[in-house]
Amino acid sequence: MTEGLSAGTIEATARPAGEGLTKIPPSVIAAVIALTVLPSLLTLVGVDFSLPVFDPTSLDAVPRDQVPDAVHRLLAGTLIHTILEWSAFCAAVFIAFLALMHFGISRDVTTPVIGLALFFAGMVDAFHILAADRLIEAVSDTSRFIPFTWAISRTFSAVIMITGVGLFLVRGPVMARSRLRTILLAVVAFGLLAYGATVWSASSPSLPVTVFPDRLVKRPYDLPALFLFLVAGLVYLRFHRARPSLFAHALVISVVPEVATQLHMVFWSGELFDNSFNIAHYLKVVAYLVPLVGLGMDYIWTYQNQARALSERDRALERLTVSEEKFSSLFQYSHDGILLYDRAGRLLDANQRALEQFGYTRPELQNLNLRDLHPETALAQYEWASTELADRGAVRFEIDFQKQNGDLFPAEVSANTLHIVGGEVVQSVIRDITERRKVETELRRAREHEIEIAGSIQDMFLRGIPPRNLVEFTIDYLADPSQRVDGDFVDFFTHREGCVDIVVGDVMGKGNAAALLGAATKSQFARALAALLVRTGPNLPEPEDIVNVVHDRLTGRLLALESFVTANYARFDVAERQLTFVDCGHPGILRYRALTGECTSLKGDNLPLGFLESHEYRQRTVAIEDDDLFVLYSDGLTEVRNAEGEMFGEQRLKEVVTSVGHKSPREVTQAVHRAAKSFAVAEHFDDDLTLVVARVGPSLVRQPLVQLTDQVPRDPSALSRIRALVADVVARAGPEWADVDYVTELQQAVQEAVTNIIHHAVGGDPSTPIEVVMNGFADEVSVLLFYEGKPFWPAVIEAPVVEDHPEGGFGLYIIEQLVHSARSFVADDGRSCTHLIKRWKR
Amino acid sequence: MLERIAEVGDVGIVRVTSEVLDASNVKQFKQEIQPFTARHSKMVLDLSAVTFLDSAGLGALLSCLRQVSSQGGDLKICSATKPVRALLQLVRMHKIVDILNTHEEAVRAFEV
Repeated sequence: MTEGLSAGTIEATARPAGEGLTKIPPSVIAAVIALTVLPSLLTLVGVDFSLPVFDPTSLDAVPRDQVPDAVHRLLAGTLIHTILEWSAFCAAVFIAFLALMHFGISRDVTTPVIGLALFFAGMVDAFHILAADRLIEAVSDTSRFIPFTWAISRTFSAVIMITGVGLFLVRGPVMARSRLRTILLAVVAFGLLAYGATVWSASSPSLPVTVFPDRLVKRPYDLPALFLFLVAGLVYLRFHRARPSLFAHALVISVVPEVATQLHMVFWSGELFDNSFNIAHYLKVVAYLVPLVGLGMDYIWTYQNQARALSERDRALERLTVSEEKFSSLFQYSHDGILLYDRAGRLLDANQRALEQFGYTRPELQNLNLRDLHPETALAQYEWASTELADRGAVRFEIDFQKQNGDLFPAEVSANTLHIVGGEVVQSVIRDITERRKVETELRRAREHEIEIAGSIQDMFLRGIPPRNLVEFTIDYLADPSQRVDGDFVDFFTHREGCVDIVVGDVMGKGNAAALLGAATKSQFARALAALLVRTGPNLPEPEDIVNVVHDRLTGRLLALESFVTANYARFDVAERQLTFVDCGHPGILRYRALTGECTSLKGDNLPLGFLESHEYRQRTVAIEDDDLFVLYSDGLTEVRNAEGEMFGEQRLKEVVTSVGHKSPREVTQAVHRAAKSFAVAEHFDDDLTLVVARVGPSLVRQPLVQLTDQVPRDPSALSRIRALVADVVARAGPEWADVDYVTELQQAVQEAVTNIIHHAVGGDPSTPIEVVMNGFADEVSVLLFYEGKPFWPAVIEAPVVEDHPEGGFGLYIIEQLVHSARSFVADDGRSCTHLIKRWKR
Repeated sequence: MLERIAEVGDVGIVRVTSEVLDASNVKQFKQEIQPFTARHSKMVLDLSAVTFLDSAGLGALLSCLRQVSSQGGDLKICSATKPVRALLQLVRMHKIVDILNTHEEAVRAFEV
């Protein structure tokens, strides 16, 4: 592994020579200037640097054995001249050499080119001195040859330098191969030209006079060089600006001694080897030394940078090696499997754990693609994960893997893209979650089991069984439990025929605690009732007394538990047609009256149980009538929420009840339940849904003992048929004592109803018949008259004032007086229906 | 459906012969009673045969009453069967129309 991600990926990049130090330090510049000016200053204080010109006549007086010494002393000027010139040449050679070395590490072409230019300039000086010392064949007179070739060499030096440096400036710093070639050619050409010129002047017998000691401008042939060096200075400056470097700056500074050289020669040297001559030659050496020093400094600095970079690279390499080792141990010994693969899914490496997880050896694994590690069933998810990884760079997901032996195991994968030099590598950490899944499944099962148990508890202790066979009171009860156990409870106490106590309650909160409290509260009601029954004998204890007993027993404990219970204790005395209830902060009892279509909420104003110790509970009594429909519910129903967060609410409940209120309690509970379900956003209700619906009066849904149906036309001819039907149904279903009077009464009522339809029904096709349905029940007879048209039944029917001799208007009054129940409603098929019920009663 | 029984003085006694006096034959009744009410302003209606009376029938009786009243006379009913009597009492008709048991009673009721 470590070989793959080796440190070889880090390359050392050397820095260009131009970076950093680009100016000669001011101290060096000061030194150069000092060196330049020093000789002149020394001259001013009387030092003389002149040396004698060789004069053979001065040898005449010297004794023979001292001649070689004398000759040497006489040759001092030439010798010093030679040394100086040769020094300059050597400096030039060193520059060329150093420039090449510099190029070796900096790869900057300008340096060797300029170095070469300097070298050729130096070459000219070499030729000059070689010729002057008669070391190469020379014919011309020394006294003319030397100054002449000096002038040539100086002029050509300047030109070579200007060319060499100046051509770098043409068209910016970008180097084109052809330009490089041009420059080299130019420099070489000039060099050769200068050499040629020197050789020519060496072999030329007559050279012009070039020294005029009496004039101000003693060596006019040196003037061009003077100006050229000044120009060179400008060129160097431009060059330095374009390509700042120590070397370039050194060139600029070298102009100082160069120009000083020329000044000395032009204005102050009238003779060979005189003061200014020697100073000038000395200055020429300085002029070569300056770029040499600059180049040297540049070279050293670049070399040092290189060394530093190298050592930094070594250090970085070392750090990398350390972290690699760390990574390697993390990688290898991690408890989770780690895979490394490329973008195409080719497995590059795996750690020990991954090999164990999958059951492959490392080489086997490296032959596989990541895809191969998943079963067919997981491929879709693999695709998804790959896309996510490509988009986001990282992904975490669960997926199945397949081992070498075909077994599957579930795993949680965390994959990351690593960007390393050389490309992208994906690292996947694979955690086997088989154990975790097991635990999760067990947990879920345990939870479900607990809910089941809770449901059974709820069934046993919190629900109630409504009495079903009451004659004049039909009850339906619906409890839809929520996902959790809740605190709703219901109880029914049937005292005697026609008197039922219904208790509905709701404990604050949810869960087992609420359920326990609910069960406890429920049992308290039963206890209270039992205890009071003992005391009140044949009479029933009043609901408020019962509730107050419960309150006494419970409130203290509820306060301690910081809980409370809302409840409604409702006694339906059907025989007395009275409802007495104690409302303890519970939602009101809805009462729907089909006759009027009103749906009202009956409320008391007691506090919930568990609020206040000192509270006295009071009951409220209202009269109830046949066909009154009562709905007792808890707030689990009205607090059902829809997708917008709206609550079902009492208003909506009233609307539903109003729309089905004429139907049986079972139909009503079902309609309300349906409405709540379709309103709710969730599958299950958040809270228990408790609903008790009761209707006063004969049951609508019982099976008739006799049913007679007929279709009669809408005219008076139908009336005799109707009378016959009535007689028939009474005969068959009525009790023995049902006499003619009874029959007549019913006949009269039904006839009036039919007449009403014939004469007063609006909105329907009068040619359509009236469908008559007569049901004889054990306790009553029910007559339904279906017709097309609008139903109507006035809210109040007053006895017509017979003194006014009205001819009509008696009908409804008669009906109302002769039967127990009369109303009109719209049937499911859109027809209207007048419904009369007359009980068998003596 | 009507039959003249007798005339006692200026009181006319008319018997309703049909068992039923209701919406189905009210019109007929009104037609047939016309000549009778025209002749007698004091009328006795014998309802012994009528076993069924509805509000239309009531209305007919009332119209008859109105008619004779406008002539300065009165209407009396006799021999009402139980259902008829019950209905008449239900609508408190007995307060404005005397209901007697026999013809003699009815006629005598006029003399009072």
